[in-house]
Amino acid sequence: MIEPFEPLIIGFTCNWCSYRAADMAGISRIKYPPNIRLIRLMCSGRLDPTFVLKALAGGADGVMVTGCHPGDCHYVDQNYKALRRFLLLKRTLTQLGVEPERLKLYWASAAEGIYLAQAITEFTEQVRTLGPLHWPRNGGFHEEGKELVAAAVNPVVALPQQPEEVKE
Amino acid sequence: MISPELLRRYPFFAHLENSHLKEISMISEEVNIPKGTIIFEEGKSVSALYLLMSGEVDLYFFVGDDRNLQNRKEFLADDINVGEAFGISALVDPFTYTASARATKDSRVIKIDATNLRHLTETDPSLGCRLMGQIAKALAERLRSTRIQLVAARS
Amino acid sequence: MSSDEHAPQERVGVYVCHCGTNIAGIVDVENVSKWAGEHLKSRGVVIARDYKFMCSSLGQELIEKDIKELGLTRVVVAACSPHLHEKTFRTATARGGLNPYFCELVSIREQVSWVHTDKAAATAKSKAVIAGGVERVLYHEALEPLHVPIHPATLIVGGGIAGISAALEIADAGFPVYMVEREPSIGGHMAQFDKTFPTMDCSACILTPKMVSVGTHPHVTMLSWSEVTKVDGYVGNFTVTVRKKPRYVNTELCTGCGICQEKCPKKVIDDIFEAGLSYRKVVYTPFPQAVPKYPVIDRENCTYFQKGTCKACEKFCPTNAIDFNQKEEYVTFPVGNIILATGFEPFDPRRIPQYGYGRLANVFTSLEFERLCNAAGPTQGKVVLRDGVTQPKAVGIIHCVGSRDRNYNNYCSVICCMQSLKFAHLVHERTGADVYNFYIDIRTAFKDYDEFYQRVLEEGTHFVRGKVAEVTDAAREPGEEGKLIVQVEDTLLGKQRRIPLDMVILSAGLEPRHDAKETAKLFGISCSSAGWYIEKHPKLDPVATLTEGIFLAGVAQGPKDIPACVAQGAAAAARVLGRIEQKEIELEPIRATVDADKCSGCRICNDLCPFTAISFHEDTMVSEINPALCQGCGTCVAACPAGAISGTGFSDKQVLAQLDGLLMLNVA
Repeated sequence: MIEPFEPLIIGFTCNWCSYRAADMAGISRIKYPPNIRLIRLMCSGRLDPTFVLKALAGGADGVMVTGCHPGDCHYVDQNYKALRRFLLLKRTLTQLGVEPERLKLYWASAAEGIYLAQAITEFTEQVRTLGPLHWPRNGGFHEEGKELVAAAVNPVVALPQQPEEVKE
Repeated sequence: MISPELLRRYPFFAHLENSHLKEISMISEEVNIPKGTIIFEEGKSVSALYLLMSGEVDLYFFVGDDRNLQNRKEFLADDINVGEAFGISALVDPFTYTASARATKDSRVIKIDATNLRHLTETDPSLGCRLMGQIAKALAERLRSTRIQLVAARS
Repeated sequence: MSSDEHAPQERVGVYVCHCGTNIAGIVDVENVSKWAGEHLKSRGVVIARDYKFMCSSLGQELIEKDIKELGLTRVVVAACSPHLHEKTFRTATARGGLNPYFCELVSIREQVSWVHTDKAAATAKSKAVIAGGVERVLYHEALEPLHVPIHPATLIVGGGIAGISAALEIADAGFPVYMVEREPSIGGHMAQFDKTFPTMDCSACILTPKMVSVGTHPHVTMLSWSEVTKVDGYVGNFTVTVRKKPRYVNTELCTGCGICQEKCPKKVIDDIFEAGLSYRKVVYTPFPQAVPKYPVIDRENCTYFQKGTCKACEKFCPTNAIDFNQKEEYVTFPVGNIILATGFEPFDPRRIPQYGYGRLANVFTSLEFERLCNAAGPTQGKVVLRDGVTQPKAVGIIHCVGSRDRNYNNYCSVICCMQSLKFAHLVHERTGADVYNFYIDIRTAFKDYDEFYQRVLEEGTHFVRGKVAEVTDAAREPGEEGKLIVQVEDTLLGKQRRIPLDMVILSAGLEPRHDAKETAKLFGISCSSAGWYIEKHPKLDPVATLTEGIFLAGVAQGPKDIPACVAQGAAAAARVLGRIEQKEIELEPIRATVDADKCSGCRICNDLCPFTAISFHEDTMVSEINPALCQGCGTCVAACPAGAISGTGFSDKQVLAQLDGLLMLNVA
């Protein structure tokens, strides 16, 4: 029997709003799928886009970025910077061949545990539908890539066949 | 015609029975008056008694040529507070307006037909008595405020 | 892909908490602890334990003991949220002899056991969460908390009973207080009431002595008819700017004699103090016992300001105190702490058109009725209809207007049941009228409240349990002409009833101030979804906020009665006094710093900081961060293209290491 694909999702939360929303979901015993693992930052503005890329490269199938609602940021307006980075990051990911739906931005205030839990549940299902990301792991290249590099270095070596389509 | 509930709200109509209020409300209407409208002119025969619900109404004396508006000078006589009645000459001889009235802000008034109101006061003495009491009170207030302004202007 | 530059030379202790069955009921904690000991050994874990209650003294002793005996250099606790116990475990770590910042608390309760039902998945996730904690903690540095001096002055915003209570506590302790009040006088809503429940004390009689104490207190600087416009700085060191609106009265010369008010020829409807029931003059004090006693001139309605004539007040003033040329003034001063006691606004029953307020003359709001009952009010305390003369023979009081209602406000406004009972009692006392109370539940939960309810029952009040459908003047049956008819389902009788009344009182709920959100932004705090200011913890800390140095008191934090307002005001004051006494507080050392060697002078970071903490040095062409102003958000850390800015507590290395752990990349 083929087991259903369980996506691995990394969530970035901000200390003041969305992390507290996650706590609130816990206190209210609201259930959501266990696929997400949360990292706490002080502010969504702390989110370096390389964190997202490293998460995806490290094996995550989806990344959720969360923070305070615009206008409510504990540090005044840093969540707007997070928004700008998110928009640019989405475009960058598309260029890299990653489905932009694998990255989600969600604003949640400290009282909105139930909405955050819903958003996590929806996102988990969305990523499940997209399937595993298959970003090359552990030092770099697909097997096919290695051969391509070898061929470039030593042209005598025969080029491999075209790599198969990895994604459905 | 308006609802008697509208009249019930104002102390000017205090002491009046439900039946009185109903009769007055039959001859009244609610009117919106845009800023700058001249509501009535000094010297003209009174057509209605007014009560200011919201906005602002000033009373003026105009001096000069009635035909040539540019030559007219105006003197501010008084201003009406919200909830106060004006056009009181509706019930006082000789039934002509003693000053002109203009809305200085967008205003809302209750307009009570003067002829019918006079008729009501004559046919129902208790209504007439109560209403005249309120008119007298309003005039006394107006006199006091005018006197104060006079004293202030003199000294 | 692992960030393995840091070879694990640390000795890490891992502690997995059962939290009774809160965690252990879903997560196999023994398995997790065993797993950590085996599979994270290569990452530096030398001991892994599980225990029933890690936050207990015994649990904490485990940590202390292991640090001393096993020479631990790092501690990871897997338990509840860091917002609850991070400090607890850091303190235990410190007692063991290790820098407290070498301890990391990861949540496997709020974020795992309480939100997942699949035990296998929850156990697996807990392992990943712990791995994340272990990887992260390897990159922690020894940090010292920042010490910030506390300025002894306090700002209290709002001069109602809560603000007054707080002001008196602090001022009596000998420390300076600035009280800023938006209206011409302090006193707030309590000054408008007639009697207070349950004792039926005269409200003004118990309030005015306190108002006078505040007004004459040597340590209180009263700034009434003023508003706060700007707040800079941080806890212990705020710089506050206040706009003093012009009174057009010279307070040095004014004796409060009131002649100006008496003689002023212009009247306007008093929407604020008299709830629209009567007039006030254009030069006015809101009520006779106002503190301070100086009147103000309402510029928008003043004949002189609008039309250039009159000036009667100036002519009649015996001390020449009227000054039409007075200008607004801005004052700036430093304070150490701020208490917000800005109060509430009543719900506007015009939003419920079927209750007829505004359309039907004899429907009153609770505040209007308070003014009617007040001996200094528009009817000298007589309970009469809108015409000012007629006594009602039947009065209805509707509870929960605008409260406990999904169409308007979902919450209960706490005070309206007692207020409605108070009205019933006053109507009985002052008229012989029949009284009907239309309620959903009777909430009389505090000291002497239920006894008061029983008293009102014995007075012969009719209680009808049902939410009123409408108040109408459309008569259908004989006897309804000229009356207000309340249509209600009497749920205890199981019948529809039409009750003809002369007067209907709507017990309107409490709502946040219409500009509460703007005020919250000004002070850097937040509002809940209902609009009340958010406290630090709803159970354990109702006076502090998430912003250090800003405290809450009174209804601004949520509906409550007068004794609770007084208590909360005093509690906030006590907290502030504690801070002032200590003269300094410790702040978390989460700050950003620029490595001048790496900084290329691109200045991308300069404009990102909302606290203007980053400055650029033209001579050395590098940016620098002022640690006093930096709040540690980390936006500049993320933005720096050269990676020249590091953030203590949330450095790139730490976050990336945690990521590796969560993805289980380094697990054996």
